[in-house]
Amino acid sequence: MFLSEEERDETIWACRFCMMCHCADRVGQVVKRESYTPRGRGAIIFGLDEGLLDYDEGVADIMYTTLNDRILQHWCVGNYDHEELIIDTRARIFAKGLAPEGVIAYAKNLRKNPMRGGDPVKILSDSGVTMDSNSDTLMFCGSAVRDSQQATLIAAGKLFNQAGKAFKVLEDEPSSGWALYQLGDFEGAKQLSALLAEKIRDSKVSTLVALDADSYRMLMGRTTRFGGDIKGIKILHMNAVMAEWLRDNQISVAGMISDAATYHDPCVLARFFEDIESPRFILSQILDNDLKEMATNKKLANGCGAGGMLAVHRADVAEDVAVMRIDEARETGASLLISGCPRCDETFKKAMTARGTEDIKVVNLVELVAEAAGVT
Amino acid sequence: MSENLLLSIIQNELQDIVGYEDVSVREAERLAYSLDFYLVPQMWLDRRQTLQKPDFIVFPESVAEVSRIHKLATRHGIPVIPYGGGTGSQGGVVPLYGGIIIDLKKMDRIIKIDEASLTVTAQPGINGQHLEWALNKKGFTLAHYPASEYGATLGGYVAARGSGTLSTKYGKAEDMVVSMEVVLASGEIIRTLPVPNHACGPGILQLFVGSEGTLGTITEISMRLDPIPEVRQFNSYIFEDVRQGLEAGRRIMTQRLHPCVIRLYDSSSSERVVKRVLDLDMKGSFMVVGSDGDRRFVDLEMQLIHEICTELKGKELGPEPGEHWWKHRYDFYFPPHSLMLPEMFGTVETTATYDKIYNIFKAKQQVITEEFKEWGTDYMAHFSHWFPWGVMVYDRFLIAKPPRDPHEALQLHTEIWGKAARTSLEHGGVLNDHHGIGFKLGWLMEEQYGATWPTMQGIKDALDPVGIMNPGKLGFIRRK
Repeated sequence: MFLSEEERDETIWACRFCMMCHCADRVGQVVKRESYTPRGRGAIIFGLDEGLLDYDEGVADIMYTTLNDRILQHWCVGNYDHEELIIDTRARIFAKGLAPEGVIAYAKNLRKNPMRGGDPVKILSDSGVTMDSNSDTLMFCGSAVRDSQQATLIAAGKLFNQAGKAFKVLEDEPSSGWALYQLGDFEGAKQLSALLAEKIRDSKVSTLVALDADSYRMLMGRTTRFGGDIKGIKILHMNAVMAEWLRDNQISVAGMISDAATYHDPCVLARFFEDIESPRFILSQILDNDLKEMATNKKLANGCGAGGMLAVHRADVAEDVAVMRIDEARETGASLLISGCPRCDETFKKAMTARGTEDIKVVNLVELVAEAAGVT
Repeated sequence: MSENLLLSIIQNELQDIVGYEDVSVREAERLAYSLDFYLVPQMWLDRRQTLQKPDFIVFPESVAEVSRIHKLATRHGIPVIPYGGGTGSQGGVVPLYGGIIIDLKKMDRIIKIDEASLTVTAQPGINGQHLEWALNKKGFTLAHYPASEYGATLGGYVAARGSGTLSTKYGKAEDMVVSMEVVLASGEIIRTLPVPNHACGPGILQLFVGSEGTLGTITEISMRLDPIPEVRQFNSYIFEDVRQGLEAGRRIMTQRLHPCVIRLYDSSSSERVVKRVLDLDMKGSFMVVGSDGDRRFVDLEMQLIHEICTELKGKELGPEPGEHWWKHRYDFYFPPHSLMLPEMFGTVETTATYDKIYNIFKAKQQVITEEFKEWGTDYMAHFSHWFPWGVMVYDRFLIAKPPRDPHEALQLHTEIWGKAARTSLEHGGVLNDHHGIGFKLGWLMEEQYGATWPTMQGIKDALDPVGIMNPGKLGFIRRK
């Protein structure tokens, strides 16, 4: 759907015999099998197209064990969109009813309960955050901050208040459909895109500020491509908004953060939208010390493990990928691992809990700004 | 599970060794492991022909598991194909007779970095770039930069006797290897002597370097390291013709200077490179030369190189082309810049002593462009791995529109390779400099070795009497 037939054929042609991105492929590094590399997948998709292979459980396992975090495309000198080729293949598998059981169950559940997680209005009100139902700015929370990462939501609300910017949230905010798009459930993604677009339109806002990066990418293009009409609404990510507030002195820094800190660039923000400056500007304003960059950073930052909804099918692989990224953070000597996306935070925290890691703390950039601003 | 009883039994036995999850008979995986970077299997798949697939792919995690797999394979007489990154261009890991692919990527640990002796000991499945990154963090480099670095493994470097872009100073894989552990066909685990240089009889170490999995599976390797150089400098020159460039290179090497790289392009390649990098229309033979290490040595070496090149009327073009090449040295191996299907191509490189190399180059150029003229065959060459005694010519043929019929294409491909290789042999060269033999060139090994070939076959027979180790490669006779 998102690659033309020509682009799809060219991507298969390019990937099926090329091994030049193997060293950048985190899943390949964890699974350690040729068939789980971009080249292996390219050859398999070619085999499927040509009738040399049948879609089966093995193919589904391979195609759902991917990150889709655009590192492969970014590494590729030819700029082939291997990630979108995988999503396209997942969609074919899903449509045939051959997706892994866990994926089918997850998609079914999300279609049925798109508003899962806490009620953002209640979460914010209970924390003393003021909202304005007449505001023309909507904060889109995303499922992670409605659920396990509520501290980020509260911090964002408080920063809006400190900046003197009126905002509101959707009481019954549905998922953006990102997860279903990634899992190849395009019908489900269409349904959620339409539902969300309708709610956004009904809220009569002109600006939407997304807290999580995946929803941001969905709203920046995929929502419309899946049939959700949000034309005319300005979509921003919270990082860019906070950077603007700091530049304009609309939020003030009460106390600098003195911990040694490193920043994890979320794949969507760094690679899809190439916003690597906003977080670094923000950090330059609130950190006492210089930011400690990881060995891979900015557009070539390794992923957190959440990409491609990998954890739905292979939570073990997602965890290993997260641990590899945490190790990169640790190598900098930082005690704070800052991320710009609640889904990254969630993934890191889960991996750290599972492995008993305590020497590094994960914190969302929004929370850190709120702490520096003295509003936590 | 296989429907064949014997294969089902073997599968169960393999599962007993490496565990249920680490034995694969999935159709999709068998397809992915049925080819490597060699054009012919790729073309076979591209034209919807049937590829020979492995019966099993296994993922051992220890030398003990590899040993047990070999014992099982010997008992059943089933082929074993050690597999690293699958980046070889000679079909070295293509399972011609089916059997068990041993993917070594789970054996990817760095065991030890000896900072006093400057050696690293690692398992064979470690990715080349990952090893390099890990060494760089400690201030070292393997200094092995093959075009396949992003995908190849350490085991592959050594098993294929590979070469990197800075081999002129740092040597080929066989020069870097210090010692290794190998599992023989029988399952016996052996270690070579702890040092590569000694007077304790013939070198067993070098027997396994370049053996391409036909004599055993390499399970641990110690390699020499170098400190990351303080500086790396480049300069470039254009000579009136390739002979002057070759003479400049010869003088640099025989005066025992140690440049890290000399890349000398033939005239047609030179025009393209100079135009692309410098946007200059210049005719002649273009050379990039580089030196690295301590700044004082490098400054002196570059000055001496400059004197040699200008004495031979080389016109200096400055450091930019070298710097550009270094920065983008792998770009041409990414699609769409790389040579790829539907084109037909091959790197028919060879090595020879300085007195012979020009004649080899001219003879192969003539054979490839004249005898295959009807196909519009293009020929391009550069000289890029220099030794104290000679140099490699990295020459390629390219046919933009080869036959569509796979059998006709294969016939043409075989014919070109046969003529190119035999031309090298007739003029004092060898079948290959650094890509290896695989099954692409295996059929010519007996011609190359002549009276020495029975000795080679005898070694193979002694080490692998049942003939399980990667049959069909290096030209060895397959035992049933």
